[in-house]
Amino acid sequence: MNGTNSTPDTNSTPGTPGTASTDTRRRILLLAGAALGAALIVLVLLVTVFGARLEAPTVALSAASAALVYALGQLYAMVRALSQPDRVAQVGQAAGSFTQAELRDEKRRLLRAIKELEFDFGMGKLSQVDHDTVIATYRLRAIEVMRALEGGSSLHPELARLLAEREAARLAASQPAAAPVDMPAIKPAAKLEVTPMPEPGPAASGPFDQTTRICGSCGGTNDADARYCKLCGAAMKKAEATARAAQAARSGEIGGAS
Amino acid sequence: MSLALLAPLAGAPPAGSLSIATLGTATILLLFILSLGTAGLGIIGAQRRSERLIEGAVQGTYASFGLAAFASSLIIYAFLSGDYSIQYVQHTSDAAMPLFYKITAFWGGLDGSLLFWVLLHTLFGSLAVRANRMRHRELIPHVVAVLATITCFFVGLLLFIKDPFSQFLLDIPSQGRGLNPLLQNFYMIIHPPSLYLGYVSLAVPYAFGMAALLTGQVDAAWQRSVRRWVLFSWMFLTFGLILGGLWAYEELGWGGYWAWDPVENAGLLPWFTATAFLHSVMIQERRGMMKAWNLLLIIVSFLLTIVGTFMTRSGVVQSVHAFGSDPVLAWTFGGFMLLIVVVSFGLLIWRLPLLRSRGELESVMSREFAFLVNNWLFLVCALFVLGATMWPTFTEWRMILAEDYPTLLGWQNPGERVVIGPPFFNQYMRPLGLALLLLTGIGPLLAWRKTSTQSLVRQFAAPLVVGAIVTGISRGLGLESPWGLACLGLCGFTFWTIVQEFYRGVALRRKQRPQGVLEALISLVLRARRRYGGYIVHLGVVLMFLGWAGNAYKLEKKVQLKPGESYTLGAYVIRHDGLHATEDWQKEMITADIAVLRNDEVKDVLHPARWWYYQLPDQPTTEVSRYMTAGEDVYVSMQEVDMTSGWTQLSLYINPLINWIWIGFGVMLAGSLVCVGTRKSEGIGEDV
Repeated sequence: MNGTNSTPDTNSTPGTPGTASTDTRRRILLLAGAALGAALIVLVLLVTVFGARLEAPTVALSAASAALVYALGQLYAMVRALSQPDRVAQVGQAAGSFTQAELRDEKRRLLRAIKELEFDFGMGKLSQVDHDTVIATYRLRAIEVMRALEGGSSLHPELARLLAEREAARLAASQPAAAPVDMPAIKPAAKLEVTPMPEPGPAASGPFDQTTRICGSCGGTNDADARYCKLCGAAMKKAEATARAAQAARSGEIGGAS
Repeated sequence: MSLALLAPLAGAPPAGSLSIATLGTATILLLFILSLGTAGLGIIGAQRRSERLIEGAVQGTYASFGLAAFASSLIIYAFLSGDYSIQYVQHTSDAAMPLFYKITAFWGGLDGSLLFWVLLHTLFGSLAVRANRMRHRELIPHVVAVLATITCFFVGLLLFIKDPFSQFLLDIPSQGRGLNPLLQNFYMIIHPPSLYLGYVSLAVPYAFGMAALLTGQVDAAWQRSVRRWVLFSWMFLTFGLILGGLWAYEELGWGGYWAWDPVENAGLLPWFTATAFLHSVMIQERRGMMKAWNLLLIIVSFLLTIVGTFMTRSGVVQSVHAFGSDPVLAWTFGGFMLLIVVVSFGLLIWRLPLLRSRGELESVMSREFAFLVNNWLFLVCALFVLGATMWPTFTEWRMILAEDYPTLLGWQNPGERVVIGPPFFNQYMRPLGLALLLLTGIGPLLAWRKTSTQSLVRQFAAPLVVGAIVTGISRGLGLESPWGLACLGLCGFTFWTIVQEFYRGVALRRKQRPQGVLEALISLVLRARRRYGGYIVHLGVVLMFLGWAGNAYKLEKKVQLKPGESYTLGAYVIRHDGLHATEDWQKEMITADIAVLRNDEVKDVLHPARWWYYQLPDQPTTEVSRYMTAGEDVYVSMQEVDMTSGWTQLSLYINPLINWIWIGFGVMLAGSLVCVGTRKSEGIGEDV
């Protein structure tokens, strides 16, 4: 009738929103086109076959036929969706299993809070002492949350163990004598600035995909939108350029490690 | 399909064929079954985690809109083609009505307005599901189930109680009765749909809130999806309320714009709670606090839209534009409201452990605290207006109960139905409104979390001085009303806080990067749309309060003038220059020519009139005419007229500053449009 098809949406996964939205858009356009076409056909039939005059009621009846075609098209899509083979849906039912989402919210809130505090300070609403005290508290909490996010990832236990082994091996190979990377102490009245490591580690690699960025300074993995490294505090833009250069030089090594 | 559908286009229908009415009722029946099915699919799909059932439910939501659109287009067709075999069409239209009013008659009566409600509800449901199904897949089946249940209720009303397609069984009239002339006004084309848009769209945030409670995902995800919807609802509620005020001002001829009419109050109630939510949601976004409160506000806002619909359509309140009394409808709405209360609050209480705050209030000198007080005030306003609107109805119920159960309640004197008029509302709403205006000024001066004591003086000094100067000047000009002076002073104070915020923001931005003033101002607003869009909305609020302050200095007089006579009101002379009678195919009209003079100079000639519609000669309408300036309105309406002697009874008003209400509304609308466009900047850079 109108070529509607619910399968692209049904089969789409959260990972492929682009394809799903393109298909949905195509389906909507097709259905809208069919509805308008039906309205036009009815209008022509009414005027030519039934001798109706081209006035408001005639146009309204054509519009009604367009609505009918749209409704039938959607009913067809519904029946078609119900006739598809079933799959397990991503439906949240168990409370308490969304700590990652809450942590991400908390992180975003804290980073926004820091930025707002700086803006309010610039606007003269806060004294230097209040600004420094409050901002230091929030920076500490932001770091805690980011660490919790890092440690509380919902990886498969086996995969997490493998990654941990690989990371340990990488650290052992690159910095045999170095102490484990620690968070620098935060001084109450200080900005979140940490002495950058002198040179990026030669094997500064990690799980590098589209959602993460590697700090060029310490090699730590950060979120894709991070501005500063959460481990060493170096600015990510500058650090990333260094990392890209280093990565280009070690592309064989990263490929081999994966 | 039989050709009987074309009957209105080409003569009478053949006996026993499918008519518009039958097709319409069948569509509503199908829509009812579909909504039931969609709700069921959503619930079972979520329980079984079945993608197939959930997809079916989603497609069912879209199909519901398709069927609602089909039913609506059928009724519009019936109006346009004059199918008076349908009772609703016959009651609310006639052949002589202009095309526009024939279309708007769709929502001009009770039955059609319920179908219009269903149309908008299914449209918004479809849009919301389409926009969020990939982003919040885990919430969608529950959202669909809640939306479909609401659809089911309203379609059930159409099907079992108020079918807009029900026909005359005997004696089909050949003429329509016509739409109430009062409703044949430009503002009435836009005002009801705008209020409906605001009302109905609040079902979407409610559905997301319920889905969050059902799934236990009460983090910020659900409210990020609904904040924009609430803003949208808020904009349309505001638009509808203001247009309602303009309609009353221009059509009813009593010189005012708001008389605390129950139906207008019904629109104001969810506006209060939606405004409170738009403020308190910021606290949850920034601090993780007030999660339960925000859910409560969403539930209450939705509940109030149903209460408003109940009040307008059940006849429990007496109003100039209620749809009439209907006890069956009243009980049905009562049952639905009870269901909403039990289910929503039950879920809220069940999930309370998950809704505990992450943060805590650090100082009373913080913006959070100002928002908290603002929320309390809005809720008090909503409760007060609801209570005062319903009180006459409660007293009536008490009388009925005392009559029915004299042994139980006979000891008390039931009295008569109490009437609560505008003075009572004004007495309490005036201080509440001024307190909200004060908070509008104070809020932006405070920092989130904590404002340093030293900076308080720096923040408050200039606005306080400006407020004092404005009050002083107003007093110097001879204005005496203490409420008026307080309102003007607070307008000055709040206005200056907004100016100060913009000035300091621009200065800070220019300090950080080399920019011109205009460039810095534009980039500041675009960079932090919600903050500065909100300030623009506040500017609109200040202008509206300025208009309301003018109410304290209003002049009014009822006079009888013959052509050639004059009357002096305030600084103006009103001169009667004559009368003339005209008619068109719809009505008879008597129009007066009234000259408005100031300092012996004719400023304008006004043409107030009385119109008698042929269909409803007992309900003449008053056509107001006014001379508008930024400072005041000279408003003239004709009450009585005698064409033989020329005696004309006129109501004359001088309404100072009134036009600032409409200007303020325009500014508010512009500000809220700035706020709406925040999608691309929801990162941490937002609002700085």
